[in-house]
Amino acid sequence: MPPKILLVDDSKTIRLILAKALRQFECQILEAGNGLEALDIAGREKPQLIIMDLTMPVMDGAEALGKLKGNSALKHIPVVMLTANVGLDDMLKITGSGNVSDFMSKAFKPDELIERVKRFVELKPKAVA
Amino acid sequence: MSDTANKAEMREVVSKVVAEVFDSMMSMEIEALDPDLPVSIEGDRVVGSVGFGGEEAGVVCLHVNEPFSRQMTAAMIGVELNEVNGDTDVNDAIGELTNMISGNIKSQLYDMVSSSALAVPSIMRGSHVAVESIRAAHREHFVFRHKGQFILLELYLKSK
Repeated sequence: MPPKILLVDDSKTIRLILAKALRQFECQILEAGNGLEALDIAGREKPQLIIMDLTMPVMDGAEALGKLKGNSALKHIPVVMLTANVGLDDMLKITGSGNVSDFMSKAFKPDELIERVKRFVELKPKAVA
Repeated sequence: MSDTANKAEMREVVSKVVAEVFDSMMSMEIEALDPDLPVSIEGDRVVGSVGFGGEEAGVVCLHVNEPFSRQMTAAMIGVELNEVNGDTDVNDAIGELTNMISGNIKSQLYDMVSSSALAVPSIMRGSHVAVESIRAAHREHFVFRHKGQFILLELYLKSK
């Protein structure tokens, strides 16, 4: 089964960029526009990886992360946090909590994203027809 | 550090941040120009703005002309120019780019320790868009060029 990867960002542009990079590989892409939607989709779909923006309306990435890690059915899912704005104290606090698996800074190149994703799920290139 | 050194460092960091964001997100090389040169952005403009708070508070405004904003959007999402879906796609892309520039300027220059707030990006459009600062704000501006297209970045900092 190809891995399910949940992309969570309020920017459609960022979700498009992430999805386009990942679609070179065998994987199922799921999308959410905020943390609340992400929790709902994660509960139903049980993705193998979540890539989530830190700053979002409705429910931000930090709150959604806390709720994911407080849910016994979802706490094992690795989460890569995306952010254009993280201070060292918060990075240490969040990584030190063991809740977040990795950080990726905005801006990023698609190749950097793929390398991060490969740390957590196996990505096989799509077969050429 | 003197004010001159601080200003030189600030100009270097801002120029580096903008160049990195354009390169990473759109594979666009940009050239920093002398900000005192008379450069005008012709026609309708699209202006993204994002405010930030923390030890230093300010606003970053990114100005480009409307045709270039569409080129930037197409490059960012990897589609042909005619596939860009109207103003909605452009607003989201320019807002997100401004957000990245603002967040990186804030974290690299002013507030490396704490994650202070970034405001939600906003977009202005029009042929005579000018941002007028309140008296307590200090303005710095930066001009860049990509293949004949000009990019204006304004940084407004609230005086301590």
